[in-house]
Amino acid sequence: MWGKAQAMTQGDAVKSRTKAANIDNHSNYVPTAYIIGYVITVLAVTWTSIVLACAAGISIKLYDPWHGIVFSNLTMLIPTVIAVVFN
Amino acid sequence: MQLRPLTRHITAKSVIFAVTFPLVFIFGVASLCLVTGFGTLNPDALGAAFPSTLLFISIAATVILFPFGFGEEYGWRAYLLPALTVRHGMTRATALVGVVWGSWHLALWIYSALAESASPLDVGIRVGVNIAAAFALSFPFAYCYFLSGNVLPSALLHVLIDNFLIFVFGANHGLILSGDFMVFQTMGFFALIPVFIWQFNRTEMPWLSKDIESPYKPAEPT
Repeated sequence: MWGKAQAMTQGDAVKSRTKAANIDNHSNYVPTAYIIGYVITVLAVTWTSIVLACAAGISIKLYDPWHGIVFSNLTMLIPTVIAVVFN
Repeated sequence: MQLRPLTRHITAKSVIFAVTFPLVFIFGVASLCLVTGFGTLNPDALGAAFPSTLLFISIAATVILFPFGFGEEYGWRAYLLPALTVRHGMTRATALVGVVWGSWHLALWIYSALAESASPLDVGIRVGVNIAAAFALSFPFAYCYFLSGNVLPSALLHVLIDNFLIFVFGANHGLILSGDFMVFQTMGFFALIPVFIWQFNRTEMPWLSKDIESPYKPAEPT
């Protein structure tokens, strides 16, 4: 019993150290809260900006040569801007 | 801002894939549309000046729109995809990014479809088909990113796909084809998903093992 508990404790400690070390060493490791926050923020900012644009009377027809293309391309910058903030 | 997705070595394979995939796939689907009768060739597409004009427009649009393609790709492929790959592996991470990516387009497609179409059913079909297409397209985009870990080839792929889709298909009326082929086109994207899942499992990705290997692997004994 004691041996099992000790093994679990050692295992947890190794796992914890490994996790901590790898979080430091792996530049692509992103905490879960950041991932969820990133997704929610990107969706919220994009959807809100589109709703506001439509409420303001801006045409966002995707294949409209000007308004639609310009506006839809501007929204394409949002994921990177938010990613920079979350980094 | 992390610069590693911009500074990793760009492999020739990723660039070749970014350029040839849109050309081969979209013009392949367009050919199938013509053969099956889902689409018809616009008369102007065979005009003498058309190919050179299309080439000029393609190059100009690619250069002008590249920063915007990069704007999406850095967020989805360089930030979100590796973060999810660490936890879920390449296939599940790609599918999750596809769901988020498709959802992200939701408001744009709803308002765009509402502006162009009166029928609620038509709006629903177009939005649903577009979300499905974005989900399916996340697989070739992820593959392109996994090939080098650099976001620039996938940004190029993004711009070329957007341009060719608009040129060839448009919203059922592109410069080259007219017709009711949206569902057909999306089925073409879905048909390729197993191919990319297979590629995920067999492609050498040296940067991946060094950079985003699971942080939960057992520690080596000291």
